Amino acid sequence: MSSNSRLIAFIVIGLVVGAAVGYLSAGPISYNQQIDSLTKQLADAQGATSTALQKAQADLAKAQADLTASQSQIKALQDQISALQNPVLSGSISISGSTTVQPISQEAANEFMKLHNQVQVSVAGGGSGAGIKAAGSGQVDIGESSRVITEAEFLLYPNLVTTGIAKDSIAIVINPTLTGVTDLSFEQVAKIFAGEITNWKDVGGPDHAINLYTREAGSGTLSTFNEYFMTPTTGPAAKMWTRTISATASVKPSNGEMRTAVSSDPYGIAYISLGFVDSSVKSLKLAGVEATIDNVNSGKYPLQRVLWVFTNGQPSALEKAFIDYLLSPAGQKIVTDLGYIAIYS
Amino acid sequence: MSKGDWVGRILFVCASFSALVVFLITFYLLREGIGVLNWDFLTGTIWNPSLDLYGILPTLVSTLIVVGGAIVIAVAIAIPCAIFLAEYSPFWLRNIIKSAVEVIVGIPSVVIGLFGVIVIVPFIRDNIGGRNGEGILAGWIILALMIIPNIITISEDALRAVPSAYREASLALGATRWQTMRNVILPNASSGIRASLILGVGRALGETMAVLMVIGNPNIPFFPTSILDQVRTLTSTIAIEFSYVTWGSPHQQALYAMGVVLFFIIMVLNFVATFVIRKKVIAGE
Amino acid sequence: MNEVTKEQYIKSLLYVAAGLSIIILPVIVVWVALNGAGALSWDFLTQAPYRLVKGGIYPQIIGSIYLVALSTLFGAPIGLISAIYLSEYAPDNVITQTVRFFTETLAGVPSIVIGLFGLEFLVYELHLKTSLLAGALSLGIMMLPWTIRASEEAIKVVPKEFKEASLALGATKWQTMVRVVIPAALPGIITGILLGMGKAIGETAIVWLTAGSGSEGFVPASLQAPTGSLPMYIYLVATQAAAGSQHGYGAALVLIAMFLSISVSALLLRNYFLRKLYGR
Repeated sequence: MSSNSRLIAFIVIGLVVGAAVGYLSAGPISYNQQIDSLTKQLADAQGATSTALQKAQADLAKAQADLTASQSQIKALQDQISALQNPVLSGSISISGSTTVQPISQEAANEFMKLHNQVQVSVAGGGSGAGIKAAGSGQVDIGESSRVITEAEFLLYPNLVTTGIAKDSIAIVINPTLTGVTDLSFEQVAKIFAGEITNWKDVGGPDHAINLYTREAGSGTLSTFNEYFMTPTTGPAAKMWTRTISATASVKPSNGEMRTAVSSDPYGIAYISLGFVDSSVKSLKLAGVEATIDNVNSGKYPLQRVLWVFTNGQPSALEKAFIDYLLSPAGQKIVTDLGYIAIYS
Repeated sequence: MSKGDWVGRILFVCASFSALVVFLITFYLLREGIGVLNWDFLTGTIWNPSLDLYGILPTLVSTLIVVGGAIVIAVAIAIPCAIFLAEYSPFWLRNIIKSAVEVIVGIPSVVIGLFGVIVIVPFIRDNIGGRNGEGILAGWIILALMIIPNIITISEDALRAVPSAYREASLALGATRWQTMRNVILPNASSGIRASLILGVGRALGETMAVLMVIGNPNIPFFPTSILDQVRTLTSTIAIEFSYVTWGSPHQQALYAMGVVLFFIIMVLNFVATFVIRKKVIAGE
Repeated sequence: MNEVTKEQYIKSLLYVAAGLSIIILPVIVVWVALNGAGALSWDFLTQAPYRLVKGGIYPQIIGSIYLVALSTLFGAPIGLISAIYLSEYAPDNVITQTVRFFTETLAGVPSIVIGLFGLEFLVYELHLKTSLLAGALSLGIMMLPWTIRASEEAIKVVPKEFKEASLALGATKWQTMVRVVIPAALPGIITGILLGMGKAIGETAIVWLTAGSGSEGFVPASLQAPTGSLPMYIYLVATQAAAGSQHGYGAALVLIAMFLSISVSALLLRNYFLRKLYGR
């Protein structure tokens, strides 16, 4: 072989070997590269993960901090709520007005005072008109009425804020010993109280004059009675006639006195709040329907009214607490216990 | 300025306090009531606030009837009792009775009203008649019960104030005790007795609670025709209606005007009573 | 019929009339006592009313005591001072006569008118609200003329010699008044105050309009709080409760007991001092 061929052979072998080496090391090199890139990727990924992890951890920590903050907020609010529900209330509230609402607020006052023994609540009567005037003019803190406030009264006392706290009806009552009379129509009631029917025998009773009792002019019960019976604007007798209560009817200025009058007068007749009916008087059916709470609720006994309390302007914290108590389940239980109808029924 | 003057001035302020109060009351009554106080008010025959009618004549007449009857009954019982105490009763008995009467004078009127509602009204209803027992007759009995002790104490004082010389002279002339009483002592004590009657009437006119509970209070007052009729008095009307009258309304003014009328009648009566006594004192001395 | 027989008849008639008038009012007291005794119990006296006719009347009793005490605190000193002025310092002129006239007039003002005045002036204008204070002030106003009258009478009755002796010794009018005359007039003054208290405790119309509803379940905690009172409670029960409710009688009994203790003390005090000072 010549030296040229030996050179060419070495070059070829060198190339082949070089290619082989290159080929053989390409693998590892590319593997290494791959490994490197994978390692790099791994490191990146790890870095990313750890960043993400750190970020996630940071987020978690933040979320936990938020949670703790919310929890303490919730607790603070809960404390506030319970503080509001059972505040250490003190002061006095004076209430006056409708004698229909009076037993409810009197009983509620007693219970309220047991819950808050630094509070004194005094409940007077006087009639719905008196209550509106007393509350509107600042003489008392809370007024009560068994009728809505009239436009004229709103003109005088424009700041009254009303809340309905119970429902009620009116019953026509007579003495339990009066036999033969159990049921009257709307017209009969109107005629009796107008003085057109003057003897019990004309409606099934004994031969004796009928003794009428009525309320004072400011009474909400009287207004409602007039609205349904005497100059009817609502109810089954609406717009059918216009009558006025007899001049000789004896005025008794409260539900309690009306009831007492009838229970001691064998020939008396009166109208009182349904909540006042008890065993000392007998309530009459109206057009065949018994005066019971169920009948009032179902509408069969066609007379229903709302009982209101109101304050002059928005109620103060103490007044609001009392009104809220009236509306609470405990207060509404008092309403139904006393024979009235819960406001939500 | 000496201390005496100082003191005098302070005391004057204090003393004028009660005068000031009366002045304030009169002022308030008049200010509220004067708008309505006119001839129609005093002689109107219909009191119907819902129709804006304010005539107090039936109420005024009823008040006078109730008070008048009570005075008659009270006098019939109290004057003989006073005569008895002054003249006929033994000394020890007189002391006991006089003390008892002086205490009883002040019995709270609600208690008498309670008695009226629970005992007298049903009694009248069941045994005498009327609608439910409430009415003029019940009012007479209740008011008489209340003013009898007043008349007894003052009349008895008046009778005993007659100088004993008069009495002794009459007896010495041979008159019986009754003749002495009738012809000598009573005429002399008449001004005192009249004063006691006037004060009794004043008390009866102003009585609110007991009357309110037994008098009946019809929806619209009317002129009574029988003693069993239910009526209203000035005081019972004020008591029933004051709570719901709207401030400044004619109704409120009418109630205050009623108060003015009542106040005026009583003031005149008191004036007459003191005048009568003064005249007697002047004449007697 | 000759005069002697007439005398006998009249005498019997008078005995009857006297008997009648003397029996009547004590009968009422006895009637209340008999009916009310059944209601009396420790609970009745120490509990608050519940639905008007259950429970007790403790707040009403305390309310009445507060009202009377406070009104006396207000009315008695002013009354006494007015009486001192009128009897000793007042010059005999028109102003004095006017003051006297108005004071006498106040005695005749019906209690409901005083109540109306208290309502419109104290409760509305002075914004005292329905309260112990308004009630006590109104009651104090009512008792003013009585304390003035009684004190003036008592001062007048003090023998002139007392006054003159004291002045002769060099005392001033005021010193004489305070150290000599008033102590001597004290029984009459105290009697007058006690009688005023007796009137105040039974007064209903005034309390109705100014002091409270009558059915309170609590004792007033401050002067601005409304207060119950026995007369109002009795009125409420008499008119609104079923007939024969014992609580009304019981409250009436307590009221009469309190009233009688005040009046009888007045009587006894007067008799005691009369005997002590004048040997009668």
